[in-house]
Amino acid sequence: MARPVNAETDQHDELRALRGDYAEKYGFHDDRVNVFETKRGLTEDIVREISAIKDEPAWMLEKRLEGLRHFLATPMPNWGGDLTGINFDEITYYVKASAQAETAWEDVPDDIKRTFDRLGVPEAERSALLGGVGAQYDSEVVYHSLKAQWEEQGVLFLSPEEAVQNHPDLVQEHFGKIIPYADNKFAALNTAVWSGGSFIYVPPGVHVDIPLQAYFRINTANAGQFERTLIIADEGSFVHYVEGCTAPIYSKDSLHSAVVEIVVKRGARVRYSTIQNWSNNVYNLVTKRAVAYADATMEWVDANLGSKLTMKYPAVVMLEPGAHGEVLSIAFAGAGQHQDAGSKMVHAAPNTTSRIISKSISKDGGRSTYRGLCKVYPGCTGVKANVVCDALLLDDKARSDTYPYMEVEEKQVDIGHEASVSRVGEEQLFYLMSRGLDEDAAIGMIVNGFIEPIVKELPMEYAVEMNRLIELQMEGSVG
Amino acid sequence: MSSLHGFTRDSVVALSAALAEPDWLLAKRLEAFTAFEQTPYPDTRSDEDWRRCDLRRIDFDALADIATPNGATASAVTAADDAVGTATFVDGTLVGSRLNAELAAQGVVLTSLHQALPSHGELIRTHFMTHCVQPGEGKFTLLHAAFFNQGLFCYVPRGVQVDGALLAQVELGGGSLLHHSLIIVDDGARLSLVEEYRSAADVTGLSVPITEIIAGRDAQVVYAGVQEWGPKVYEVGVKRVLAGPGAQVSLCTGNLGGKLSKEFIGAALAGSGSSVDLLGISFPAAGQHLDQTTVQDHRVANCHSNLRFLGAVGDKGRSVFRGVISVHPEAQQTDAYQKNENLLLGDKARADSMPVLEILADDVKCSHGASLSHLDNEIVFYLMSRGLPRGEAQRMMVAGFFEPVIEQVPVESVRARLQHAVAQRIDNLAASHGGLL
Amino acid sequence: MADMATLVIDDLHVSIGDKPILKGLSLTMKQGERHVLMGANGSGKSTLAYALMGHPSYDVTSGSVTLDGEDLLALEPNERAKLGLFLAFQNPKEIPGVSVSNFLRQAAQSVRGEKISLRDFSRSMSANMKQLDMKPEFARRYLNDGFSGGERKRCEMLQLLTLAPRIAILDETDSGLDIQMRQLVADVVLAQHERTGFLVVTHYEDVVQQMQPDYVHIMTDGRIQMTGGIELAERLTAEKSWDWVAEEA
Repeated sequence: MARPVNAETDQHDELRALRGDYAEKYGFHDDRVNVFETKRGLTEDIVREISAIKDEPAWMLEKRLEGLRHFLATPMPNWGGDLTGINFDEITYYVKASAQAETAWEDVPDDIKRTFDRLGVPEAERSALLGGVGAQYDSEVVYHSLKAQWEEQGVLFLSPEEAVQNHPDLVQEHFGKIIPYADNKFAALNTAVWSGGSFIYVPPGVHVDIPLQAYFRINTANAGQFERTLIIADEGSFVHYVEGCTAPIYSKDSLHSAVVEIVVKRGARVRYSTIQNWSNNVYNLVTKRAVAYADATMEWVDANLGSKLTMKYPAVVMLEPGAHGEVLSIAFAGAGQHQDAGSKMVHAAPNTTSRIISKSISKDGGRSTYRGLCKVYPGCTGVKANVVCDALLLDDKARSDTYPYMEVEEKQVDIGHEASVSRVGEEQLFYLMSRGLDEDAAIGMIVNGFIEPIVKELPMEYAVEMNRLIELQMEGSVG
Repeated sequence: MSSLHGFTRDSVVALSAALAEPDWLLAKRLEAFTAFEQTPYPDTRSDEDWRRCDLRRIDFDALADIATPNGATASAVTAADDAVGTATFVDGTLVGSRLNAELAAQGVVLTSLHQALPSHGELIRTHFMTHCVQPGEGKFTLLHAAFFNQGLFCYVPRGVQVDGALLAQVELGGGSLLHHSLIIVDDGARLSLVEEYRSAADVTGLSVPITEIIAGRDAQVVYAGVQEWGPKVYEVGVKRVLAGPGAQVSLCTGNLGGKLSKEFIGAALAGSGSSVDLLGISFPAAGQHLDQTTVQDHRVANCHSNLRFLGAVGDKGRSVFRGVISVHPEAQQTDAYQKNENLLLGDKARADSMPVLEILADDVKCSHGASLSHLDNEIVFYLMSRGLPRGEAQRMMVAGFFEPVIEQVPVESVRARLQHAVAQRIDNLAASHGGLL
Repeated sequence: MADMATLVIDDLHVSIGDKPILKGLSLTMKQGERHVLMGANGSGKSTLAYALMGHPSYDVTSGSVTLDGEDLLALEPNERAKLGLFLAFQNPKEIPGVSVSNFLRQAAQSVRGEKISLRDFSRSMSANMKQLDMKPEFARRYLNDGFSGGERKRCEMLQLLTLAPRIAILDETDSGLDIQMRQLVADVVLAQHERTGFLVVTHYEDVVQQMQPDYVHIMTDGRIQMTGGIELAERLTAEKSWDWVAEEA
């Protein structure tokens, strides 16, 4: 991304006028003086310091320290993408840009406000399509707001820090239970230094029928962002949570390592949509997992467009009969990018169903990898699972890999996996060009058609944003 | 049976001497042995190729009795009369062979590697573990290169068409057998060959076989390897074809026996315009672990490969399939397909399927599919509505599940044996479930 | 004939899951009779066909079905076939790996309860295939695998001829077929009508005309609402609607 303006793509002037270029729109960097930041590198002192700043109870500090011990004792993963560029000693683990989280937009410091204005936050809220907005700048949540009607029904949409202070029972019941600190090295790291994120509780039967939104931004060079999100959808409830992510372009790499835990109780449904558009010097190593109880539905809609390396495999553990898990994902890997994304579906109860649809596009030497697991435990009869992965290669330097794992220990099941890799078809291209489209436009149209089944699942203005980002990625893809 | 004990340097030297090998072959063995000693056994936790295969179950030291020639004769192996040539190996020694005189006159060779050394030494030296399978690929290829027994050598000269099929039978009586098959089909030649591996039910043993098939320009090869080891045999093997320009090869494997079997089955598409079909069936039953790793290695442009592996898993059986389509950056216009279908029949059956695509070229058509399912009750109903009892309907469906691959095996008697072996497994499974699957 | 088989369906109630589909259907038919069953989509025609054959997803909640006094509902599908019941499926399943001839011989042996020599079987099969205008290589193909719609229906008719049932249900066997193929189905019915009682589910008046049925039944909402002769089918064609059935029933 942030490619130099290409003289050959004059036809995109109109488009550029609409959205600007990445460097202009998202790649800017505020020269603000941070209120507080910890020293670089990770030590027990820093973890204690973060906990002290947040005025946390002892049990949370203890969890952080457990996470730290496991992080230090665990080697780097030897699979997936190339992680050798991460230097844990160079990272600033905690940066605070604003003194407190604001609930009125006017109270947010001007420079941060300017940043989010340029990102379209809270434009999204003003558009009245979204039920609530949270915005995070480096480590801390700077703005949180929830429409009054949901508040009245008992919906909570808070920063996790507020939740620790005001709803400790709920947090203690679920924090680290779905993704224990020992799950993997980066979950351990997040447990040790987490800051910001979202905490959502939806009471039984409440349907939040417009999306709750969060926007994450890294502003400080070489900073890590380690947000922690916990969503509890009580019985029969519904919530759609949407997150967007950006970062300015620095010469040094940044690290984003979030943990997202979701509990979907009996009959509830949660949809979690992500448009990940980190600048392409961010390592995006995220652990996301939901547990779904009887007749509950968990849906991950996951679009990975930015970052240098993404390793992310949203999971659904189906614990009781009738649970359903779903992942719809799009990955776009351009020059210098590796999208290693996929999904885990764990069928731990009979009559559970899951579906994965993954679409990836690679160009300019970008590499996209689908990595997935479908696991069926013994005794889980009547399981149905289906995986479809399609990869589109736009040029001869691109690379696509597919690694689906199917582990099945029960016979009364139906599991299917299909994948295909192809280039943009010459016949298709010829057909469109014979109708007067130039090659760029024709390829763009084919790419849009390719991802359409997933884009249409996004809220409207996100779908528009998504298409814009894809066009940006596609720019100058010919010649 | 006389034998050498232990995977040691002394055993290498003694084995080579017993087989009266030329110096270059002993040197090749010793080089492999040195590397073997320096190479650890695969780490079954971190090495993806081995992650689902528990090698700790194999006591390599106890099984390291390497057979040497001892004048044994063919035992219960019945010579198929529908083959135009046969070669029978017992414990690593060629005990009998015959070949249609007309084929022999055209220069076709079907014998042991060692008997062919005087006449075809250069050919063997050029192709034996040099460019199809190489000793240094891993611990077990090194083990094989150091301790291989008297294996099969089959050669079809340029342009010669072998009508009918050749059959090689390999029997294991115990200890370690490192059977090597070197099959060379020269430019424009045609060959069908079946290899069968068997042992008696009470035999404990280790088999580390390698089959190399070198298909020359425009050669046509149909190969089938059927493994029916007894229930106490462990196996780690490699079967690979190296396909030259325009070659058309079908490589079919039946993986049925053994306690633990790990097979690496591969096609190297090294010549433009080559086409390889990889077909396989497996049917692990109680306590068996059958593990197959396949590679469709597209090295050059304009090649086609098609894989279809069918597996049924019975009670407490474990099946692992990992298949990779690998397309090198130069291999444009690749057309590759891969399908792994699993039928889960037994209680506590476990099947893992990992169909992998690694694509580094852009102008390709690659797709893969995998499925794990049970017998479709709608079809059971359909067959029952035509009068078939439930058990019979199920048996018919399982037999039908394997048929598309079995029918590709070129020798009628081997097809019949495969069908029989499958039927026997279905019957055993049904018997332990009161007649039903 | 003295031993005319009789199928008696009495007050049959059938559900799929919790949903009742058949709500007290009664019908008696004899070997040698031709019955046509017509009705709107969703009225329960296919449910009747599947329930008679014993499909496990169709729960008979009350009522009875007997063939010559024998309780059909207590039997497995293959035992019903052995008693002489046959269902021609609307969408027969593909079974790759099982050849048509191998399947049919095994089915015929099961139904007749005796071994049939390969020679005898091949001879009668060739005759049947000839009657249906099928090419000999059809016998070697996998059952319904890659068959066109017409081939599937022809294959169902071949099974009917081979198994020679006493009572046959044709579940919209004519759907999706051209005029020529519909005629072929009608010809099979007419040729077999002395040894088989037919219950033909169809939407086409021309099929009814070709078959010259003894009875036409009109079904709505899980019951037979009206029984008459060929004039009922003609009236359906004229009215182009089912509304009058409810009004007059």
